[in-house]
Amino acid sequence: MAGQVKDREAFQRLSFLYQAAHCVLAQDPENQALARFYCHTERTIAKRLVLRRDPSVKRTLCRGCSSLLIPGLTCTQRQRRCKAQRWTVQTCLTCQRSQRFLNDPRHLLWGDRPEAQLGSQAGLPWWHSG
Amino acid sequence: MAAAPQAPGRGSVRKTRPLPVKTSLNNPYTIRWGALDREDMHFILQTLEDRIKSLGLQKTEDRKRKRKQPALKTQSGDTCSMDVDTGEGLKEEKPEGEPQASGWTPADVRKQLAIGINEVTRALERNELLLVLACKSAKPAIVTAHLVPLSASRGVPACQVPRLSERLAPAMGLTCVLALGFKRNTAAFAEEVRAIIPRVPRLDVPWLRDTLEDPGENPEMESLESQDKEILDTSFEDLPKSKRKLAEGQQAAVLQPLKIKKLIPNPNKIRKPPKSKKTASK
Repeated sequence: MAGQVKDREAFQRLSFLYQAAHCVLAQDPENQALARFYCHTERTIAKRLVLRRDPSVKRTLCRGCSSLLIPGLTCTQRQRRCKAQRWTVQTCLTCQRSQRFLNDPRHLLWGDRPEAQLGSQAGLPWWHSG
Repeated sequence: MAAAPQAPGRGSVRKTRPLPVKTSLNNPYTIRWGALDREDMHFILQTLEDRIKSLGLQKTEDRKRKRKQPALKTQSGDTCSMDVDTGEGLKEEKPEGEPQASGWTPADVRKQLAIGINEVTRALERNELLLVLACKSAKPAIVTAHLVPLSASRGVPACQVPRLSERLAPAMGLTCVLALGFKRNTAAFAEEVRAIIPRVPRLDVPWLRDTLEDPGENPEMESLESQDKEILDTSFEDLPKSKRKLAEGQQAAVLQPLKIKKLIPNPNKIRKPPKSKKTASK
């Protein structure tokens, strides 16, 4: 099934760093520098080995300062209306960089659609509680 | 592997190219709302609806802005007559009958609630809320998903109630209520809040779960500082004080298993035509 994945260890490193950043922020909300360092390392690894990350992971990382974004702690998230469309705007509190995501009720990311899955994962995206 | 989409117009002699599979790192955490029983859901919806109706919490909205008539909110007499003239009788059929300023009917009750996602998020960031209710029928669901870790970190109970919007929006005179929060100083809703909170299931956030069990360990922390070793029966006694603080989470955070997503690239992906001279078709 998933045994023939190349760079499996690299993925494990990425996953570990990501979880470690979460735990760091959970235990010590003030220490964002360490979480940022972990995420920066993770980004460098993924860049060097050209590993693809799921949008759900990428959305929680800031592209400017690569800090881990947790709504309420390191970033603010608001719903905005812009040009008759509904966007979710995420603003990183450290570098004030904002990301905008469109909220279209009919749109679903290609990666979340069931036809894209190879049967290795469940068909629902991570934020779908079912 | 499935047959690859071949280039159109070529002979069938060509070998089928195996579909490239892209592997991507998937998020190890799944944000999930707690499961709510049906009776609890009905109970919550019913109590809130009754309470709101009894309070008469309504938003009366004047649509006169569309007619390019500014500053109509406070002018009562003129607008009433103008409405009659323009035939916008719909807004006149309010139970109040008198010309109402646009806004909420008991204004102080309105201040005890946080209605709408943005308001709820803001209030949660400032730690003002006692209870958070979110609508489950939000599409796409990311719109309310960020409330989960946010309220879990503040220790505020939250749950997702389907059809929250369908029931409460007409009761309050709004189009859509995706999130509702009760502030700490709420007097009008105090009993409802107290009745609802025990029925709300616990929120499960994986990385916070390990540290949120600290309230049981905090008294141990203080006793640590007072050098009371009887409570702590693990091997942390030998560690220096600074390390004790870090090692206070006795259950080391559980490492989630690696989740990898395999993707088949979209055959309908919009691609820029390659500029190479060899491809004559483009």
